[in-house]
Amino acid sequence: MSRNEAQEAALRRVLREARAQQPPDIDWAGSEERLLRLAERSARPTPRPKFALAWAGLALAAVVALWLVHERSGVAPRLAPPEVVEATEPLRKNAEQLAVGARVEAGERELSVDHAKRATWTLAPHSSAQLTEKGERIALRLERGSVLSEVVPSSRPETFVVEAAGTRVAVHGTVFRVALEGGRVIVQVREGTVAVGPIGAVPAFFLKAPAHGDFVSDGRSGSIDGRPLGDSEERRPAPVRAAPLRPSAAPSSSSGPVPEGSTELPLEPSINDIETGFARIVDTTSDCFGRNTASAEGVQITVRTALGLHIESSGAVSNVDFQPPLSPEVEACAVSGISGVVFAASLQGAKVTRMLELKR
Amino acid sequence: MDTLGLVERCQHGDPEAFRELFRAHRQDVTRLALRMLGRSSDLEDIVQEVFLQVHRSLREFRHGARFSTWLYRVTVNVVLMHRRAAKSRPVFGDAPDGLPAVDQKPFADEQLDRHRRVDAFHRLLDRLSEKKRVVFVLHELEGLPPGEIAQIVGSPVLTVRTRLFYARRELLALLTQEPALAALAAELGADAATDGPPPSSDDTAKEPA
Repeated sequence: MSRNEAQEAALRRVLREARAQQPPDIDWAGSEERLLRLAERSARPTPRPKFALAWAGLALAAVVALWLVHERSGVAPRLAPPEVVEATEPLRKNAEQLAVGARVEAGERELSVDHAKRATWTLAPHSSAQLTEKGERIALRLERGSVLSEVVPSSRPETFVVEAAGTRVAVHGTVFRVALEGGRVIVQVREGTVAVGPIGAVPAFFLKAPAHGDFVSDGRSGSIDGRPLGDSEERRPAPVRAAPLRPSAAPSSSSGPVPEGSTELPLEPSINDIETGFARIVDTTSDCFGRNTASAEGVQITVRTALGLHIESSGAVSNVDFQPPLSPEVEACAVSGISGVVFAASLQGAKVTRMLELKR
Repeated sequence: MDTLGLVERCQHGDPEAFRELFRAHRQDVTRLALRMLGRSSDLEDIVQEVFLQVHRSLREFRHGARFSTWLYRVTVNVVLMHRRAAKSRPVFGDAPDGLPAVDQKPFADEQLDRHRRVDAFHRLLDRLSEKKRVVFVLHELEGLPPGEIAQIVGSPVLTVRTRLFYARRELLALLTQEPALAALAAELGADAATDGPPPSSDDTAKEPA
């Protein structure tokens, strides 16, 4: 037997011995008890680290369209608000004074609610909305009338969401108005961009200011600036297309708003489209890294990783790979967010790799 | 037991389902963590962290995927994080835990040698790059096919095969630097020279776990 053969035999032997290695005894009962306690605790208050991305994805999709207004469209709000704030005079309210679930109703005058340094929303006279979230994301459920929202730009996704009827409008930082009018949802964007779509689904439309959207109440069809958008028609106005992050809901492929049957698809997404999407992905990943990486004061942590993406022909991202891998928290957060980014549809999709440098 | 059924119940917040999931898969997770780390006093904490991650991320698990593959990925990530964190902590030398202190059983010397060899093997593994170490452990110790490893580490199958090839080559090159393994190689070479070829099937058989 040669020296090399002896070494190979030794390696095989030690591999077999390593396979046979028995784990030490573990107090499984105690471990199980601790685990369930921790799991319950982590699930209870804020699903921050793991689900943050999913929530953030939801928030991102909602960032632009806070202004869904309606004029008594018969939308039946099934709310059981613990608190009702009613304004009979022009009024400004500090959101700190409102509990989640509070219903806010404007009387004869407008009613504004301030979320310090984050957003201000103003209900038109005779409008009402319920505050459904006021943590990292602010979310409203517009019940009737209209609401004008001014959202301070943020690197975090979907910091502000308005839901009206079956439509969801999400923004990052923008000024927009949402109104319920005769069973339709009107979205006017004055600044920034909003993502509009059915509640609980991928945003179907993106409105870049100045824009006026008129949607049926389920958020699936309507028109943007007078241009009709049907279910099977050009649902995605390419020029204003941004890469939305969306909730944990449905990732990838078939759920993307891809125009079926289009005969004018490019072979691959354009450079512009890829770079736009990547810019969003970089933001999201940086945000995840910042939120999920502990750092002592004054110590900067820098991580370099290669991010590989597989973009399907539908524009959805089907594979995300960080090499070297990031921490589980950061990866879970980033992957969830990235799965909501939709690039332009193309005939064959694309595979893209970029180096990322993340700093905390 | 229907794992996907359990997963679905977990996704709907059923704590009993999570308990069952833990019981069904804790041994697999422990074994993989042990194989990736060698002996570690943090094994229990790591297993717990893996299942906490599972609990938090389960909603992202997509039906249609294999739960075991997903669980492997979570485990690998947690172990890698643990290793990275451990590197920044002070090390006070090898703890002798796990080694038999006294010869209490027949063939105790042999057991002790085996312990030493396995420890030496883990030291060699530590010298591989992270990527190579992970695929090597998953393939050679866990017995996973390259296709599944590719899903776990998120790399093409060809890349996995390449890493396996180089991992093996590096380990062979490093083998003689560990006295316990060098002695084993010498012993096996000498035995073969005495007994004549071929080497025993015991040592040549390819044994996926």
